[in-house]
Amino acid sequence: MLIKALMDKDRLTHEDGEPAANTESTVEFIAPATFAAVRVIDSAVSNLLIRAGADEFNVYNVQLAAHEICTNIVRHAYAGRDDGTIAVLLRISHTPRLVIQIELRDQGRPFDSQSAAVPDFDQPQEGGYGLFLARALLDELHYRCDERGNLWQLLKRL
Amino acid sequence: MKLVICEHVLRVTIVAPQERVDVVNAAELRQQLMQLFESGAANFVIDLSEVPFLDSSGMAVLVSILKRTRQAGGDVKLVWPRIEAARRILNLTKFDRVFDIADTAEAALKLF
Repeated sequence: MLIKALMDKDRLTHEDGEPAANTESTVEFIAPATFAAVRVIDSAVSNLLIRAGADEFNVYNVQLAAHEICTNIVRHAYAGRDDGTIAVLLRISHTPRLVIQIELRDQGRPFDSQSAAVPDFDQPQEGGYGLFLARALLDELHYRCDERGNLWQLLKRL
Repeated sequence: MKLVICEHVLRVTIVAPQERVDVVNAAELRQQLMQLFESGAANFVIDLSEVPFLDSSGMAVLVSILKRTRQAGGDVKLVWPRIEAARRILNLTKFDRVFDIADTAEAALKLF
């Protein structure tokens, strides 16, 4: 199985199925850095949001944003390496507003911000939309590189 | 009466993916479209109505086949995804400026 470890501290709903206020749910797992695993990661995002009561539109947007960042990690950070991993942390909180935070950590090459120009929309291009979409669909997108590798932090308030 | 009568029949190939189009299978879609192109198809309707999830890799395939067909004098028209969020992605990336996009395959055919 793709996932090495799973921790689900699920305190999201009351027994009647209604979202609880001021609660938090966290899911953590490590996935191989493959395109197939990107689907597993984005499905985990989608499932968590659906369970938390997010609407279809927001579920899609956050799922796609996470999908695009993971795709970039596989394609650019690991760039053909087949031994990489992505450590995933998904945290949903109702405070009472529904907020999802996603952390994606990898040990590939650092992100090159120079390669992430805004697409030229007048000239249709075959690449460069991924990061643009992630930025457009999220409220916050942060990146940093430290001694533990690359860390992407995504945040969406729903 | 002297008349010159020409009947012009335009061949259009409709391609309708029935699953998500993303980084996992975008290369396969590209390959299938290129096979059709190389076998003579230059005008396409790509019907995205049943595509539940479209990512930037799938979008890159659409641009790729658009460029190839336009170089050959053809074109690509799209059908809007049924899912609202997927439609918005095409708006955000200004694909609706680059492609003619219709609500149905029949309407897309009329755009040629």
